[in-house]
Amino acid sequence: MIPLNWYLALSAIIFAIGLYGFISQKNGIRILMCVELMLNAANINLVAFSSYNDDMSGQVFALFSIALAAAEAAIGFAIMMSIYRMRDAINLDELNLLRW
Amino acid sequence: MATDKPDIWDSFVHEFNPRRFLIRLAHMEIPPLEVIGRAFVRAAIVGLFLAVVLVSLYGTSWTTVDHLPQNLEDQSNIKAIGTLIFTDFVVPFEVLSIVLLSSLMGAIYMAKGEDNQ
Repeated sequence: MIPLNWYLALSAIIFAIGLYGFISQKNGIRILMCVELMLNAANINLVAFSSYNDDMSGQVFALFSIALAAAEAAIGFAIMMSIYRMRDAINLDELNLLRW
Repeated sequence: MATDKPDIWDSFVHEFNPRRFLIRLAHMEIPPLEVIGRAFVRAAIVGLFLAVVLVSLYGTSWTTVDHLPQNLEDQSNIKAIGTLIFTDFVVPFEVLSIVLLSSLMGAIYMAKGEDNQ
């Protein structure tokens, strides 16, 4: 039986990869991919704790989180598409439309 | 056979030709110092985060079951998850359906544009 710590370490490493990409990338699509990576790290945590505590509700939470990630990706890519139509670029550093 | 079109072996050799890597290495320009500094700061932030999480993770004694519960006749837990969704979590499930529907409507409206109706 694999210890629970290994799952949590894998999840932390995936979250760190996603965090690094999130703060270092400029392409909007890559940033959305890194957000997905962080969400999936949280899903790994949920499923690991759910199976190692013999409680099924964590896996239901993981399903809900997957559905929310799908909604977030749909909205994000739609925003990226409309930005690309408007500016012909998805470089988020040059985008100050929402800046106060 | 046309000679101007490279076959797959030629493209394979071209792809993994070490001379290309050497040329790319010779023409590689060193980025300015502030770019390197920014990358270092980012890597330090993420490395600090990862170190804190990993140390606290291995320092905690998680309460787990001794053996993973498994039913040898029926390995899947789809039935239990479905029962749980439609009994305990039925209100979040319905809320989630509304959220998905509205977000997809918004996404389609934003991605549609005005010029191609």
